[in-house]
Amino acid sequence: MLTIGKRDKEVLLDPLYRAGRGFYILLGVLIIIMGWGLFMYIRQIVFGLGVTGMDRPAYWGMYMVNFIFFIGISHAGTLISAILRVTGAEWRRPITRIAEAITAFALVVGTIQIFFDLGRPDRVLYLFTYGRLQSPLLWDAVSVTAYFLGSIVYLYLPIMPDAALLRDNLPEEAPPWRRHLYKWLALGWRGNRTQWLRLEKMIAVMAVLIIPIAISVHTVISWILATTVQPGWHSTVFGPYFVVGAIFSGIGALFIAMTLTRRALHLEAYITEKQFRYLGYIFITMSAIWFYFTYAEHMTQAAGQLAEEFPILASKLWGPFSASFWVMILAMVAAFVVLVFPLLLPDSWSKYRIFNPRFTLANAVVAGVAIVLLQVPGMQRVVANLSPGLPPITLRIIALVAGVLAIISLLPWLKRHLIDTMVIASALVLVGMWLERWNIIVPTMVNPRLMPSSWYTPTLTEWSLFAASIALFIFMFVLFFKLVPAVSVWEVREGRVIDDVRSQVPMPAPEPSSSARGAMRRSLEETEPTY
Amino acid sequence: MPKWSMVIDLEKCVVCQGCSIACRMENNTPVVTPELAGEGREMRWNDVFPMPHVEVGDYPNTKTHYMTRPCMHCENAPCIKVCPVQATYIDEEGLVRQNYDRCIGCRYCTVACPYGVRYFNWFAPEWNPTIKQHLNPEEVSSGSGVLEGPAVRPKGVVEKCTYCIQRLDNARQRADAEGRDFRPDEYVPACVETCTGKARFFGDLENPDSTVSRLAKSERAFVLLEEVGTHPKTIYLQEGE
Amino acid sequence: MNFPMDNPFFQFLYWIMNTPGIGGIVVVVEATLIVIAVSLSLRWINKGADAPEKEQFAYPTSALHHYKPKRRGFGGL
Repeated sequence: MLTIGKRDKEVLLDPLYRAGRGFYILLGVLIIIMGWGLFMYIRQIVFGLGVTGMDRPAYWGMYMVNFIFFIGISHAGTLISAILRVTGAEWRRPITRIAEAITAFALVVGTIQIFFDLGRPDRVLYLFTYGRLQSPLLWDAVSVTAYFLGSIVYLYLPIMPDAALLRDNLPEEAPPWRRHLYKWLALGWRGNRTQWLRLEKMIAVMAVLIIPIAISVHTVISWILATTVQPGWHSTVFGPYFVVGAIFSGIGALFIAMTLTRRALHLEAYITEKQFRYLGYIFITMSAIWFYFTYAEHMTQAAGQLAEEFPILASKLWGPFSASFWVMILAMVAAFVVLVFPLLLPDSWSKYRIFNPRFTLANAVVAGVAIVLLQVPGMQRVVANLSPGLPPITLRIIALVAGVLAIISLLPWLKRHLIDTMVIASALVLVGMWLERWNIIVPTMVNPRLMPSSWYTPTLTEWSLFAASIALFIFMFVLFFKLVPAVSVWEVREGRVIDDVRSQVPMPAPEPSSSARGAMRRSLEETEPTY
Repeated sequence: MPKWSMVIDLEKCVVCQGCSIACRMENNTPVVTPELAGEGREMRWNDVFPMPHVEVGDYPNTKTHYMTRPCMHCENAPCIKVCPVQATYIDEEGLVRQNYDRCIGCRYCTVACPYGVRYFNWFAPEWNPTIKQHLNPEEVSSGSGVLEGPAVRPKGVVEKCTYCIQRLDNARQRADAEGRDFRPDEYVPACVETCTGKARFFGDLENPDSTVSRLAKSERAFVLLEEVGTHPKTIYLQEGE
Repeated sequence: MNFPMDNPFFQFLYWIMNTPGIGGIVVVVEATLIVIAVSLSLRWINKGADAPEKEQFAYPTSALHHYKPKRRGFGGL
């Protein structure tokens, strides 16, 4: 019989047996979206892949982009939680379960994208009966299989003691299937010393094993592209570039999932600002590495100016793909600014009047109006008629200055609202990473060597299946956290013990600052004992 | 064992597109509406097209180069290396073949092919009733789960030029029936047979005295995208300016 | 044939790479091995309940770790 404190029980266990109206509305909406997606998929099977926007030469399109995107998201979890476990980061405890759940579900959704993309989904088993190891798709099958099984186990292991806890503390009114479920999940967990030691050992082993497997998964996905001879893909940097992008987008997804779970399940006492702050540091690091790889990838193409590669780069920099390319860059830069600049702002500056949300709003409106006047065709003439002395360059300067002022004056607000900041940055990063995959797949596809360049526009089918994929992901995520606690109960309680012990250990005095050091030396000299 | 190869003399090509039509009739490639063709869904195993980005001279004295492009039947084919189920493979006579019964439609080969000569069945094939009555009934199927050649393809699989493998099959069977050895000059693909300007040559590259071997040694001979290392067996003879 | 491919060992490697079905076998063997390893480990944890120990811990406490036998695992944290 395992016991749990009253407060933990109220916040973590009791909501599992309650479901409000919002829960059912959410499920209903998700099911409607998924049903629509299913309809569109059946339609695609009946009519053929021609209902998508894919064509010759754009043989791969949004399904492939989504495949890479979702598998990338899946790196949120297992990899991050494994690295944090291995390095003994104590603050990881409340967020590991959310991270690991993202991994498992994003992998499922990512794998489904392959079914969407296959012309003959009925023959998918041929991948096994006739699988050829030379094809990078088989490498992918090998590493995704390992990653999926590993992630499931890695998600399940810490659930064991929690399931036993749920089994032992089941309320009277709980339906019998729950009793069976928790009994089955607990797998005879008694919580004696031997079991704990064995569980801890196995978690430690899994944490170490899952890291190389996770890295292999996205490397192999990048090799699907990089092993071909197509211009723009045949790049050695793709492996690490994709892994970094995957972890980057994975943290973004984790931040959003953390925030929403925290708000929906009232976990404010468990997932605190500390988790957001520390994970934010990793986020900044990944952002910097991502910029480095992006620069390396594009700079070498630009400098090499190979006859076949350069048009693809040009189509991204100023050609038809400039919109998606520069929105990606803009989103990533904005995410970096939002993450880093508030940290650089001295606290004392908030006394200045410009650090005011109203000032931000005013500047944003000014910048927005200026940009609209510049961009919308015909507006320039209106401007010229209204105020003859105002040339477009003035408008550009106004837009720039107002935009910069808007960002700067927003910084103290961002600094005060750490969690909102992280959500904003995460949303920007997710959009940016999706566009990154788009910018890798599509420009190469539509600029083939011996054909005139074409264009690819996803149709309603592709968008519907994308929406349905996201809905499926949220659906699994929401249902899962109605079955098991969103926070690993035993790990959090263990963390409390460790915090307690730490608070009792006399810590050495903090390192004195340089100004204090002189005073300290003087006082030491005065009290120096004479022998 | 012969190594089949095709030589196309661009100097002699008059861009009549007869090869493209002959190929269509021989191999039952589906016809698509002009709207679908505009969306990039047309299928021409043997495409005749103006070279993109290559125009010679200043207006009005410009000249466009035309190209006719069957499958290159590469010795080191990128499509074969990426196929996860060996639906495409190279046989001992150097033909890159496509098995419609095996293909899962992942389109990795179409993506990997630098020549763009692989086609995907976006929809189930359609013909108008007259053509439908005159579809080529031949198919090449050897044993279980191998369906190749002009057999009507289901939707969702990849198809490509086979150098008219059914004609090779027929020629072999004829030789067998007549109780003699098969000679490599007994078989040519439909496009070679129909070529108005006699610009196409077909034969055995292993035999140093064959027409294709001699033409392949010509100063004008070149292959497409030699730099990607695919070693094509469709060889072109350069056009004079 | 050029250098590596006339060596029987490389021919064998190429056979492994290029034969349809081997990939499927590898995936199935891999999945089977993982499932077996995980099942055995889970059974090992499950059997841990039979150890003659009275106390039960809802979570690892210092009491759990202080009484550990000499072999100190580094797991868990």
